[in-house]
Amino acid sequence: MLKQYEKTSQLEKDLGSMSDESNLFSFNNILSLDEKSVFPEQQADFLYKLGLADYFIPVNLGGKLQSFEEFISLWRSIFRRDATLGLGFGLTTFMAAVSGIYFGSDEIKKQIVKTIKNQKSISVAYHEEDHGNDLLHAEVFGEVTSDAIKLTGKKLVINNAAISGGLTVFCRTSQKAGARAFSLIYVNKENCNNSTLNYHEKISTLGVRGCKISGVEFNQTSAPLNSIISKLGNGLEVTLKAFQITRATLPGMSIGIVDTALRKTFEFANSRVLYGSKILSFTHVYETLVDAYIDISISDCVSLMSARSLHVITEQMSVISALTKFYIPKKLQNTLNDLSVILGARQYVREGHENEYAIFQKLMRDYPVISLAHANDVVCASTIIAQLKYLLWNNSASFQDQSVVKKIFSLDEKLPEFDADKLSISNHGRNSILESLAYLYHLISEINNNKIIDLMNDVCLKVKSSLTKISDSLYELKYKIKYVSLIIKDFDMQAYDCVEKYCQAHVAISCILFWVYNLKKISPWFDEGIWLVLALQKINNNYIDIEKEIQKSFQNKTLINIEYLVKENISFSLVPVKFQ
Amino acid sequence: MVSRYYSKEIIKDWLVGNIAAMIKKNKNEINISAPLADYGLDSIHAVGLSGDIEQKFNIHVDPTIAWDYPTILQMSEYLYSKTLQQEVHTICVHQAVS
Repeated sequence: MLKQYEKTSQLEKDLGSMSDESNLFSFNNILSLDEKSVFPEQQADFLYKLGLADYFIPVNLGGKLQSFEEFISLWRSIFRRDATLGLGFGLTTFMAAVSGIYFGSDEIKKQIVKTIKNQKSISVAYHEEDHGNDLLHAEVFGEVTSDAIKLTGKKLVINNAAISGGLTVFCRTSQKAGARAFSLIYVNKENCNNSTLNYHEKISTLGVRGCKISGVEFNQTSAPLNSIISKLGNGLEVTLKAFQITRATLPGMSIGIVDTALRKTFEFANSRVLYGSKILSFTHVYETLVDAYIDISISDCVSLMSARSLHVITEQMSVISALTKFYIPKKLQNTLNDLSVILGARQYVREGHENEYAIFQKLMRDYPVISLAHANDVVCASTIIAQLKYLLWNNSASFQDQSVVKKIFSLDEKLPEFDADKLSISNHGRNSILESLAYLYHLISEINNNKIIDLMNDVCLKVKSSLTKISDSLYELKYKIKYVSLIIKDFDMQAYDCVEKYCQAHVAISCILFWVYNLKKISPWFDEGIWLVLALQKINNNYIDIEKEIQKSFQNKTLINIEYLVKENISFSLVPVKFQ
Repeated sequence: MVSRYYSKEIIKDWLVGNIAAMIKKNKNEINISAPLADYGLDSIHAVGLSGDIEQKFNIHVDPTIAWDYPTILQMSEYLYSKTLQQEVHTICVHQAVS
């Protein structure tokens, strides 16, 4: 087993089976708490005892966070059990902590580490009712005096606001217009006058019902001057950099939710008999299950690419993180919708023997938060579109060093330590992954000519031909982008389509690179490349031509693989993890 | 890095043309002393503008250039000194090599 997955394997053992009703993390326990809108406190305590919160803190500050690949994998195990726990215990604190941990003074770092070690959450106080995530219109004001910052105003829809040990607050610190009028403040509740903080009552939500989402009103809340993260006026820049870390990691965690959904749907399809046969044999049903598995594989490739890129091409994360957050949640939301059709009434009815599949209702309610929270797809698309012309027309960008893509995609390559100072809010026209397209052509030829692995069905030739199609689509995009508006208010379907096409090309290249660099390292199923051919077709139907018969046989083989993974209780991720 | 001389006027005109095209307005509707935010160019798109600048003038600029120099006038002053510096540097390197 690859070293970075050993801890996830152990975590799965510690958390136990979800089907075991006596288990703290059983479907029944999780669902029952959710339906009462109660946060899973006991489960959170268990995670604290296991030391999971230490993964919010980098190793050099006394924590356990070393690789974002390992980090995502661990949190996927939580999300596949309960997104409420994943957000309430996990991601909220991580999102709030990253800006201070990577851009704050030593004092702020010390305070954040102490809060987390004391088993307290930290809240992300950005959102305002009137402005949503339109940060440049934030109204909460931080008046800078000679020895303190005094905060006034209200932040709403803030997870854990009332119970957290600290708040990372985005606020206006100057009345001047422009992006330098904002700062980021770490409000440590231990050293501020708590009577100046008023909390809003719990806000009811459709999904993640147990999360303690509320709001906070600051009434001249005083924070010392050294609470400013980075420096005065740097709030937006720090935010845009810190969010690259969280946008690159959250979507990969959410794959756990869809893993559970596919597992449950497969179990249902394999047991439900209609018209004299198992519904698993119905064409629509098995095609949907295969599609869902392929969606997970694609999302997994994107997530791995993004997590490892944070370490290797940190300076290019502006576009890569936006692309990850744009692509995965949208794809997996559709996957869940498609799976729900198979379950039919079973995902709707709550009583009787249908109880077995009731968890699916929760998954359907919870998943949208992954897409909606922390920049929706339009926000992410606008980040990409603003840089797209430069990315496509940058003549000085050329593929220079194959060791860079190898480090990103080869899972047994040791990752360099993450260096947040390299984060930039622009890619400066570079995308090392897409720049490797021509080199990838050479790599595929080498695999084919040297018979590095014994492949059936001309997988190499199919993949090779897709590279030409991807290259053509990028060429087309180069000319299309010239006529697209960059202004968010004018963002139209044509602009959206340009972003889609660019992402598709990037995702397809990532899947191919992932396959090429991990042959003979993961499993015979992985090497065979069937998943890759189906993935390329799923990413963009024009990328690959597959004969009907071959497609049928590939789908059948994939279904057999799904059946094996369900029976053996192994994750659907490309790097398999054994469940209990 | 190849460089060439750009006068303040050339830089200013180019910025006016680029921004006018970006926001679909006529050049004469652009006030060079007004903050770009007034034209609906938000912080993310200002980052996109830094890419256009890098490509046009073949220089490396901070993506926050439009935040720190929020009007066309301020930005063109800054870019003038930046491109001038770059040109002087290129000439020095060229002379040292030859």
